[in-house]
Amino acid sequence: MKKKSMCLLLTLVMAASILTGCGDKKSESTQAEAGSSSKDADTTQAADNSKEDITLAFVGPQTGDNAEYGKSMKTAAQIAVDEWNEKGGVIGRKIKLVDFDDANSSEQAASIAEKIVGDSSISAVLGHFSSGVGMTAGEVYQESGIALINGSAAHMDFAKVGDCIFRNNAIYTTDANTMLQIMDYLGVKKIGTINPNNDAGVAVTTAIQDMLERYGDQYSGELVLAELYEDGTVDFTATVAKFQQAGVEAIYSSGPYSATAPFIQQYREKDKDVKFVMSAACFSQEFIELAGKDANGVVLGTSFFYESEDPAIQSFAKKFEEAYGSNPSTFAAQVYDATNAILYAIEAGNSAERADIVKNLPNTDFQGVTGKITFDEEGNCLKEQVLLEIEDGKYVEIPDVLKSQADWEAEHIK
Amino acid sequence: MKILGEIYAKFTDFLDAKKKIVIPVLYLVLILVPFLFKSQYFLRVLCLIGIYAILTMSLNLIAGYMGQTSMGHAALYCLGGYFSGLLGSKLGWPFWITLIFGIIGGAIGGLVLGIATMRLSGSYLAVITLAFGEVVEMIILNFNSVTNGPLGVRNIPRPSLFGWEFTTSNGGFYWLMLVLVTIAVLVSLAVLKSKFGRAVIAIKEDELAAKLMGVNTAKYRVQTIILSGAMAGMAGAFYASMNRYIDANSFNFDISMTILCIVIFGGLGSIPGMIVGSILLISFPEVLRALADYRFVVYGLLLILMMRFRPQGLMGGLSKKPYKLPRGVTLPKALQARKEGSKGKQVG
Repeated sequence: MKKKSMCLLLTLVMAASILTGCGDKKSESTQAEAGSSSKDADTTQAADNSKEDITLAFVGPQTGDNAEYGKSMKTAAQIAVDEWNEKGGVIGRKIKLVDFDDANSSEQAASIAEKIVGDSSISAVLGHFSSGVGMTAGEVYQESGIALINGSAAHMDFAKVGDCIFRNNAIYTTDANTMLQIMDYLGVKKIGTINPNNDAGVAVTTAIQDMLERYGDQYSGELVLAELYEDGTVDFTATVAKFQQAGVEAIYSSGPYSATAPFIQQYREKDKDVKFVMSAACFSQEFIELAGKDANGVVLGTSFFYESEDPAIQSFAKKFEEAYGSNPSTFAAQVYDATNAILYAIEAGNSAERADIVKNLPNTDFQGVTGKITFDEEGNCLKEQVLLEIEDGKYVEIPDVLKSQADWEAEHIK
Repeated sequence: MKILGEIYAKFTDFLDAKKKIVIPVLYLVLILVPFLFKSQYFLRVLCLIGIYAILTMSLNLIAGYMGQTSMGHAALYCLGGYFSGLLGSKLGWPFWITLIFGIIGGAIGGLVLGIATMRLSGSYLAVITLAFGEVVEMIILNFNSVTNGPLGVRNIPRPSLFGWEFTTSNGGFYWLMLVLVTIAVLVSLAVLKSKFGRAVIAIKEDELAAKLMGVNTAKYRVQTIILSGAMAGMAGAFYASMNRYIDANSFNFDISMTILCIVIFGGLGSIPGMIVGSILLISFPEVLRALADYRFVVYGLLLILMMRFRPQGLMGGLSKKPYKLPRGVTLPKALQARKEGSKGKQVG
């Protein structure tokens, strides 16, 4: 009896919540209808809207394996929104940030995208973590003409989804060029790469090979061995032996710190002299903690360094630390700049309409915490990077080594 | 509470008796949904529910009827998605043809899995299916020249009919989903009511006894998994063209677990259970979105409570219909009387 009643109760609870869910959707759909009704009505609506808050949506993993990234990026977006609100908002209206959890799954991201698109109060979208997830959702945003700026995707085709899709992350060619510039600086001849076998890792590996094919004579190093590893690998001893056999002098790894740290430790056991070059993914205190003293001497390029002298960066890093309890990562900083880019676009067009934001974003031009923020015709922001070295468990900036890709090309390619 | 149980029994009896009216009315309402609810988010969630309904009915053939556990069902779903998606994206074939190849792709996966597991059952089978899921994922990730590796497949064409392109917002995908779910239900029912289905259920009840009765268990096992693979492949092809972008991550271990979860939650062997289970478990995380961080805690809690108080699943063991003998088979009088007396023997 008890069992039966419990079961019925459960079913009722579920049914009830689903019915209420339906109710919500109904009101949403009427809202959407009202939003898209006729153009004459739009003008009166815009007048009404002017008193309301402008809503931006942030989507990212708040649960699951990548929750840490999602939460830090959300914090950064919130800081940008709060700063504008303190100044009195944008075009005389306050800004509100709503957040959605996509658990870094394409399936959920696409549903959320449909939800956002259907909610006419949302003006633009920030976030999505992985490229694949962002691209699935991107198709939906593109179709209905709402702008998305992402701060972490590496897929070469990400911004090609359409003119509504932008990204503020170093694209693969920038990463490859940075790496090769660092190798020149270190003066190594034989380079090995180890990258995860996922979209980002494969994109970077291909980019390095392309760069060497095109401008091989401009770099001093040559690629002797390119290895890929599956996500979740912890034992790299076989790979280390392969690198040693090939006689590499420096290794580049673009993977997350969780895989790179054990790799470095296992390599150091066998070889004291090899040099390590990392990507911005290893720019994190956790990396130093994991790799311990083997982290010393590691160099990496990143578009953001929280100990920079720039007052804007210091102020952002301080606010981030207060809100989140740790130093901001590159991805978080890039989302902070992406949020500002949207708000500048609203200011420039004096309108929070979706189409106006999409129209004004390509003209973005301001100095953010991750460098100069401008978008090329595809929608990528070309990042400039600085060189960091780990000394005694701390990141130290080595200035004036890395050049932006445009400067480098101007200097080397005639 | 007992009254509620009786009401439920009366309700199902009523549905059974008025089948000829209830089903057309139900379909009419379902067909009209896109006109009543304009929100494309709502339609998309319904499509996802449909996909999971097909996937669970597909796993139900193996888990519910044959009594074996598959923990790598997403692999079959994945093969369908990739076969269909790649043909559509790289060769530009229309959806209706790639759908057929998606079904074939799933069936081929089922054939391989079926042959590999022909003589296995229980936990051994579970482990092999788990490994099969991983193998398929690794092939997709590393067979770069064909699958585009971890970069996934982009620009998968949408279905169109007489120049009308199906989208989520115009309801095209929803109606297509209704058709595919109907096909899956009809296939499941056909299996249940055939010699094939009875042989498969015999394997579940007692494989040794079935063998001794002359049932070629190995053959039926492989055939069931092929059929199950074909259904999962159909769902994969639909998903690929609805999403327009797929990568190996869209078909990972979590998806296999979700499918298995719904099958157990809905009630092993029950077709309505698969549909109701999909409706509840797929819409629930969406409905609970307001709870933010806590939504999966609530979700998990509900699953635990459910398993504690109703281990046979939501709709499992609810069928009160007496077992219908196949045409031309009659029971001896003594048995007939006993059967009528017990009247509660559940079927499938």
